[in-house]
Amino acid sequence: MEEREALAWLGRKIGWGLAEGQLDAWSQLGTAAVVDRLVDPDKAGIPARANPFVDIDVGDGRQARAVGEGTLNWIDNVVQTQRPLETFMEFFWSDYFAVSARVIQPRYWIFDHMNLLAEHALGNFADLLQAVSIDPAMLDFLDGRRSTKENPNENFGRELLELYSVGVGNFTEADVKAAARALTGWKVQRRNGSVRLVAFLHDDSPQLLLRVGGVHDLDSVLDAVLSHPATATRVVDKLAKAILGVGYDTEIVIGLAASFADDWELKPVLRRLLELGLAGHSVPTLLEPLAWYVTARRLPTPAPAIPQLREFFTLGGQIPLHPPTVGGFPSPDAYLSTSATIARFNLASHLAERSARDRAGGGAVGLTEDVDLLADRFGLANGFRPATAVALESLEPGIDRLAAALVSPDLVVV
Amino acid sequence: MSAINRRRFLGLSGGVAATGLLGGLSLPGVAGARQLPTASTTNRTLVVVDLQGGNDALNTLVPQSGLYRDLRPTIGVDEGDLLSFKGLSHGVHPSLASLQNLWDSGQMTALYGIGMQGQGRSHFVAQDAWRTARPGEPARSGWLGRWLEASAAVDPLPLRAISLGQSTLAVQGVQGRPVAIQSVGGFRLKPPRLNSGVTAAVLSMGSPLEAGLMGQAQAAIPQTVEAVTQLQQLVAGIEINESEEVDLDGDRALFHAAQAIIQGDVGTQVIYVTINGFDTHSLQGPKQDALLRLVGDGLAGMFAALETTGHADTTLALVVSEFGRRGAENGSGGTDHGQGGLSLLLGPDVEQSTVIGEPDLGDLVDGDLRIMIDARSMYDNALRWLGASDSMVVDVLGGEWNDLELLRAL
Repeated sequence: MEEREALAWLGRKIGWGLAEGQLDAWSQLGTAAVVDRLVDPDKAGIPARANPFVDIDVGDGRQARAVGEGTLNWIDNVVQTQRPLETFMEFFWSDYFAVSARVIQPRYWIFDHMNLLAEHALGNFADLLQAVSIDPAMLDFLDGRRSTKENPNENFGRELLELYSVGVGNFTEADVKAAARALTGWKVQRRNGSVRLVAFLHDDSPQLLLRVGGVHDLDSVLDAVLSHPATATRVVDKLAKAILGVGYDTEIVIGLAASFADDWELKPVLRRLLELGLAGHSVPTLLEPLAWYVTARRLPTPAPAIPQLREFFTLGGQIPLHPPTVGGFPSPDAYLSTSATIARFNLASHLAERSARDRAGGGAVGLTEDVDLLADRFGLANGFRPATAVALESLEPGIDRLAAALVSPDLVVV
Repeated sequence: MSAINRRRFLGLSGGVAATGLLGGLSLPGVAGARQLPTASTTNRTLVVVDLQGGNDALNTLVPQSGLYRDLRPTIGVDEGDLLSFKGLSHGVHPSLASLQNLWDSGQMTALYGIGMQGQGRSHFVAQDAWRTARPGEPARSGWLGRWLEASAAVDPLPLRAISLGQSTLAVQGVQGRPVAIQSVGGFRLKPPRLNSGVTAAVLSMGSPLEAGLMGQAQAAIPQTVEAVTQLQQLVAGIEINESEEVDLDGDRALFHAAQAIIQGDVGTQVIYVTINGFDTHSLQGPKQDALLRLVGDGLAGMFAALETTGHADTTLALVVSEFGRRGAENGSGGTDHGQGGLSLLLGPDVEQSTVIGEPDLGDLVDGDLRIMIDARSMYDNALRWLGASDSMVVDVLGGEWNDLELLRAL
């Protein structure tokens, strides 16, 4: 692949769209330097992510409103990010360690959950797993805070094994019970969200977990799941699916899991997967609703009205901070559905209408004068497909052409 | 009209925005609407009602066993509240009173101790097992989705399959193409300034259709435009619940919507209704009371209404749930995830009113009802009823599951 084309893929796939001039700037930097900046934004001196939840009033009776504001702020933060891979990974982890703001009580604990995921997004998986296991939102979502020596609750123990580590087929019902017992006794103060282990509610008796004996507390549970080879394989597979696409060639990541399990550092794995993608090893994937929305906003289009934005994510089937199940969001194919198609179509119309009205953010409408330049601006290295180009030419430049371009299959498939 | 022509017609005539231009299509209330254009259309509709979360079978149809009271000392249904249906030894949960007519007229079969091999106790694994009918395999397509795909005409009717309530894997095809409508709520296309020319231009991006995902993304657009127009006319004025939260009014409306779609004669063969809230770990009594009433009244009301328009004879309902709950109640006034569950078949084509399978409360497996009937035996009946051939059923279900004859006139 030509370097510029490879970088365009990187921008569309990982960055969820390209800002004005970004592709030129990246081309000047060169691939290696671009990957460095993405993987290690601290080292590159890129300003840290702002906490999107900092000004939200979570006072009595404001739970639903606070979570609604927080979700919108979070989405806006994604649009504004200077650290696209970190943001990509924050969302990845919010799918991997899915906790729904709809379910937990109090609902605003989702804010600290998201901040925690962001903090570890490019960090160390073992540290992240440890932190998530005693994160108040997770302790509530999967009932850890209600699990005691007298009445162990299997919910978190089961998902720890099934979803967060070794995966289905690599553990038994006895392992679930063992993990549940060893994780009993964690309590959260509702008032301030502080977490502590209450000794008399904790079952400290030694358990056999995944054939490891003497497991009795959080650390030894995590040691057991992390020492199982299936854990690294599973995490690497999830990461590869996210970056290279579902259906990527699994041969190319052989060996990556073993080195990952040495230290659980995410940066080397992410770096390798980005390099594989840049070398042409990605498979086409549908842009999920969040990714498509951010792509549209980078054009730049102005912010949509809140009701339209809500409708988009609801009908699209991917409300950030509100994954539908503990298994996270559906796989990207699901967003070929008629409802997700309608969601894209209607928000594209809305964004195009607003672009025409909004002088400051209205640059997007102007970009539609020349269809070839518009394709370049989208990072479509070979331009629009002929049928799309003809269809766009058939419309007047401006609102109509912009809306049609945003929902073109060319843009939606990366 | 061929597929492309019909789509082009829709697009160029403004499609969605201008519903008045659709006189050429079969729409509800239009005379002769039953004469649908494709030969593959059957006029039968399967309505699956999925009780998400795992409905407690034991409190739904209460077995005559002293062990029941031992297992359910505080949340067992009071003896005096149980309903007795003609010839049925089980006590019926009082919330299901409205199903008595269907039972008395021979239109209700219960499958007790039903499950899917290896379904486990995880909601997600069990739901995937039930919805894919391929337990233990990666969950990519649903049993109905595969049938919809395999039996699709070149130009499939856009409203062949509709999910009501929530989207579901059960009606997702192998290709990931939209073989079913997964949400009714905001099912409208709004081009900028309602300029239908934009819709037409976007439709024209669909040809020629390319291979792979690009082709799927192209195909999604015309399928969407067609579907939107018809469906909106059918469910106008019915406020259904499409959130994951329980909303009794909105959930009740799901049955009204199903009824309206069937009565609309638009070629809908599968309606998949998902109702949430059956994961009753605590305070099960009032929760299950309300939910079962909703389901019983909803189904009875739907069949009564369909009877008046001559549609009941071509309708079959299945009530399913990803697992039954544990035999013994827990310490929170509820029940935890279990194994063997309860499914119902309802409608005039049901062979007879009976209960097949009897859970032995003295022979629980790890505290759960044993799975004695494979859900694929029920699916086999439903697929054949829908018109699937032997080979198609085997393809969809991954083998032979024809051990139960539950329906007449297959």
